[in-house]
Amino acid sequence: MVKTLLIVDDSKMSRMMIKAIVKEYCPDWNIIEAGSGEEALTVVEGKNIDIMTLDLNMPGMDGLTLGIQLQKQYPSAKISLLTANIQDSVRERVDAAGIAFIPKPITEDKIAQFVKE
Amino acid sequence: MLELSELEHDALTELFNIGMGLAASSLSQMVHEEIKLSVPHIKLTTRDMVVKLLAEETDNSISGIKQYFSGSFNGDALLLFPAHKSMELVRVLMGETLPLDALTEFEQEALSEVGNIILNACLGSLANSLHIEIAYQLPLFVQGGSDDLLDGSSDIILFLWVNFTLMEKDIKGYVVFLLGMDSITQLQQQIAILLREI
Repeated sequence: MVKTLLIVDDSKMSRMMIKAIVKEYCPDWNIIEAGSGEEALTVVEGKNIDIMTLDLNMPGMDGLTLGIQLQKQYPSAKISLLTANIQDSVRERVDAAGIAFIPKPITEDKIAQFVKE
Repeated sequence: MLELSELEHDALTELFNIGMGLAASSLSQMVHEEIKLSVPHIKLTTRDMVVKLLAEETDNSISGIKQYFSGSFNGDALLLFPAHKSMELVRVLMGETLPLDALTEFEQEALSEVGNIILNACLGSLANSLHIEIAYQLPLFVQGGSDDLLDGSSDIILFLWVNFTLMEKDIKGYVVFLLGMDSITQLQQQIAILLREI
């Protein structure tokens, strides 16, 4: 089934890596990218999003705030926080929000497992 | 002057970010509280500018750890605190009950250990991401103004900088990597290899 994935990360390299892995496993998926939380809210307007990977530590709106906002907009979407900030307290806040937590660095295994679940 | 492309800059920022995330997790376990991280800053700049910036951020009285590293590229990694805050960090690490003179005795040892953990997490993560090996010398305790700390650094520096805050204690620290021109070229080559693999 063709799905739409939203990738939000201020690092272009990270977006490239995620996109390359997803394209390999799910070549027909639509991929939407944004470099910030604010941009993400603009680019999703009028679109159906099925899966999201959100970076946490970004200039401006952080990924968790964005994720909670997008959860309301897309209650059935699968959302993951993809972050280098692997502190237990951060992980607990992400868990409490009902959002999946994927620790960086980005690897093929982690992304493939998340999108295939 | 040598320049980093937008993508090289982006890649380096992200690698540094991942290293600092790991470092913050370790520090958080040591002090039992959350560490807030800034977005990393990376700048190819002059030694004088770095001296000025660090002086402004710390009232030019700094305590910290300096660790020389070598491998595919060489440089100095520094963990810096405003001097009056470093003692507070030692207090957090060693427990509130120790008297001040005992804490002073421990400052060098405690900061060396924190520096070792943080700087190794950052450098180790960078090395893993780039598939290279980096060797470190033992951490050195340093104290003084920013000019003293950067003594011996080359005139043009790749300055990687992130600040972190122990939220409950309001202790701010800085992790700084300094690389000279030759090492910048080497690092650029390593990043080019990484980007080609994507």
